[in-house]
Amino acid sequence: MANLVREQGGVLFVGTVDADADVAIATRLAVDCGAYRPDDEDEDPLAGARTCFGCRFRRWVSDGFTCVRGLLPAALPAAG
Amino acid sequence: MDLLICIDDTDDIYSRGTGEIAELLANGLSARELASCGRVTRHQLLVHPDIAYTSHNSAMCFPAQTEKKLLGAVTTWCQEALVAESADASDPGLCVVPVDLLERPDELIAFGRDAKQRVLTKGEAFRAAAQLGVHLSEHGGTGIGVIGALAGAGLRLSGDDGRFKGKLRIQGDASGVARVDEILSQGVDSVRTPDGEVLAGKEDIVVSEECKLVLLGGRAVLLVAPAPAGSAAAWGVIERRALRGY
Repeated sequence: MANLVREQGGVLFVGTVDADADVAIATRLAVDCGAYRPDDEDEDPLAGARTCFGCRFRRWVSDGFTCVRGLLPAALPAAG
Repeated sequence: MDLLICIDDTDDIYSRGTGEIAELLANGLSARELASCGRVTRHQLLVHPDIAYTSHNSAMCFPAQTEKKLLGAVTTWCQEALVAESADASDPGLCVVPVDLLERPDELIAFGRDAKQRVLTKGEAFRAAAQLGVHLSEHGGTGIGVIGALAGAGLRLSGDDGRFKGKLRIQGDASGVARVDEILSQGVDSVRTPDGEVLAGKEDIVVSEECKLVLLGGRAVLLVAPAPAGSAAAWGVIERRALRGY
């Protein structure tokens, strides 16, 4: 299940595109985000869906991603 | 002669991606009749805190055929184009591999596979390139892109890594179904499952408008899986997110 972890460099979204629940949360975050911008098609693992996973400003790390704009919230929203 | 041309670290988060620049290089070489170029593939490298990457750490590579006497001109033009097209804040690297002249291709492939497993240095990349007789150059910033450029060329050479850039629009019937032999006439070399089962020409596949191909066995492969019950055919193109491991 997705989680947010506060690290020295900012907030880390721990989650995977393979888990529907994580995708649902990343979708909610992206829908609510005014800075969302789709990444190149080749870098989008969900074929055009609006999620943080496909956003140009997410930066992959081994357990998930960070937002290079620093826009991940302090707490996760409910999936929806 | 056959070449592999690979670039890495050409972008920042606001600029066009490295894949787009690779296509620019391929199209530019073809337009100038310096080489005849094939499709671009994307190769995922290690994601690690000690590696400086923009957002995903992938390299882009394409094959090119040219005359031996044009090798220098091809390399020079790619260098100039890379400098012109890369983002100001990027760290571009360029690798040009004369495939026919490689005496130890396994070593180049091993470098590529290594770059998926551990943190490599510029020094290691330049030493490997010199030993292999491969062109490797940096073009701004830290030049750290040389690592991915060399690694991406090795992974493309392996024939078993990466995804082809772009989407393939496969024509199906009114139900969105296409036979394998029809698919094979539309730029696909093989239709198979992730486990390696190759589908026969008469099999029906539910296709989509956004099919992605992967590089397996040196071929452009469309991966399929059994379709859900009630689908218009027994097989369907696998989910996009399942391709992330390629």
